[in-house]
Amino acid sequence: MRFDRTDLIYRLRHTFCFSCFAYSLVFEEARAQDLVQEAYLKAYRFIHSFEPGSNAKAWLFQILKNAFINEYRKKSRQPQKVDFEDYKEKNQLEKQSLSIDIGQDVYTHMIGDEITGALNGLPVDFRVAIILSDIEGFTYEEIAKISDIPIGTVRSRLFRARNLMKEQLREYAKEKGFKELR
Amino acid sequence: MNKNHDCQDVVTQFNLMLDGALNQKEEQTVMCELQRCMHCLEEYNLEEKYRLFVKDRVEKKCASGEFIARLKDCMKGE
Repeated sequence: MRFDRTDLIYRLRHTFCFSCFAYSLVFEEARAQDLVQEAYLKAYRFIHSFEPGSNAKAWLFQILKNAFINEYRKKSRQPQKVDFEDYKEKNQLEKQSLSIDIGQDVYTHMIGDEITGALNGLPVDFRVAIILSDIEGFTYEEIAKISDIPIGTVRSRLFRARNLMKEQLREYAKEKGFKELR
Repeated sequence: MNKNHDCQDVVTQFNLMLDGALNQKEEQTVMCELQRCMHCLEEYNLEEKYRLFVKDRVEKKCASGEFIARLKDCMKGE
């Protein structure tokens, strides 16, 4: 697939999901806009580095993710690291053989704010995994490329991220008086 | 339940299926396993519902028209 500067400008119509992703990384509208702008300008400048036949959307997301990491490193000499083992130990999620069960009815009673809150409460690497997979619909391969991690890590990160998210939603459901099914 | 049926494995497989990571034949195998175990089928239905729910309900922050226009100008000025 061909992708040139004209296509990139045309793609600005889809800045919507791109902005969502940026916002979910920084939680600040102005910073999110700066990130989006930086990413688009980089893409514009380095359009020749796009590999024909690859996914243009994934390429743009990768540039945005890199812009975020660069910004983060500038602000903090020690980037935040997610200690997956701590999370595993704390939540004992790996030991749960099946998904967390809060019952289908609970979902229908939740509004966007609670879901967004649960998502935003996750560490950034987990948040990114869920956004890229469950919201943007990228494949494991594309997520691996965007996040610069092996495919196996994408799978395990998604598993943990979804369980953490469900755990948060379950807590919310309990607060609202829903009973667990088991 | 068939003794060869492993609920843990089926959960892993249907998650891969929902992520679009399985081929047609593998998907058929997972669907067969789901038909064999009511518990797995319930888990699958719940997971499918959860995925749709997250996708539909997460708050979407739109970029303003003004921002997009400004960005277009920046790009054209490059």
